[in-house]
Amino acid sequence: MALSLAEIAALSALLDQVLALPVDHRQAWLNGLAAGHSPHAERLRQMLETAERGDDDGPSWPGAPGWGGSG
Amino acid sequence: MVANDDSLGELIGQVQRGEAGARDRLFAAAYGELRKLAHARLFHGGRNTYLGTTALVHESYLRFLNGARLSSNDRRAFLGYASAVMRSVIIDAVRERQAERHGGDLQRITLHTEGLDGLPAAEDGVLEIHDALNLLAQVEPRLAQVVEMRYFGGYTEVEIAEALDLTERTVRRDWDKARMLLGAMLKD
Repeated sequence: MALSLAEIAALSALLDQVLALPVDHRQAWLNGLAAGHSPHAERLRQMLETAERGDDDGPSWPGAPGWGGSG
Repeated sequence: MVANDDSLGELIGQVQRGEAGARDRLFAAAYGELRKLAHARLFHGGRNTYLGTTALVHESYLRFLNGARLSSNDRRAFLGYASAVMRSVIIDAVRERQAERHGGDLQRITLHTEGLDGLPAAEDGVLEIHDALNLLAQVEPRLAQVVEMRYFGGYTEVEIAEALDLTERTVRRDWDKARMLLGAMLKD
């Protein structure tokens, strides 16, 4: 677990920004972040790609057995 | 240990009246039931009679908490406490099993929690998530609480939203964001 608390905080703040954007605006936002040499741009891109792949694969958060679904 | 609805109702009544130590007594009374729930969740997976029974116990608590008009602080505290107990029992059980396995050939156990896409779900992974959640709590305590309540506590988004005074949409966003952060933390 190599991420520091400062890195987690920075990623969290950046996620707030990008997740507030329409999906089709996010790529441009990421490109701008990378152009500004943000150390988090590539990691953020991977995080978003992983999340999007999850969405494509079906329900991201299946209801846990015995707990009445995901709410 | 709460044995029936009457005693639970009385304890909640004491909390409502603001009696000294009532909240602690309610929590202590619930502890045994919460441990049972955690073990059922850990070892039985949910699609069987035993978990069905314990889930009913859980629902009984929720029914009382909903009907008793507990203050939002008391309700929030109880549900948070319940999730923390569940997490603690699950983590202790996983560690115990891992220690035992060093001397035998016990089967690995699978934790039946809410899924964390792309994250490990078996024993090692549960401990990793537990550690990552501790870190996340230092930066984003609300996200960590949402994950604890959903992943370890088994609460629904609706229940978490009510307990934390959030909208369901906010809970869902927190959950998604926390999943992304935890995924990045565990990948490194």
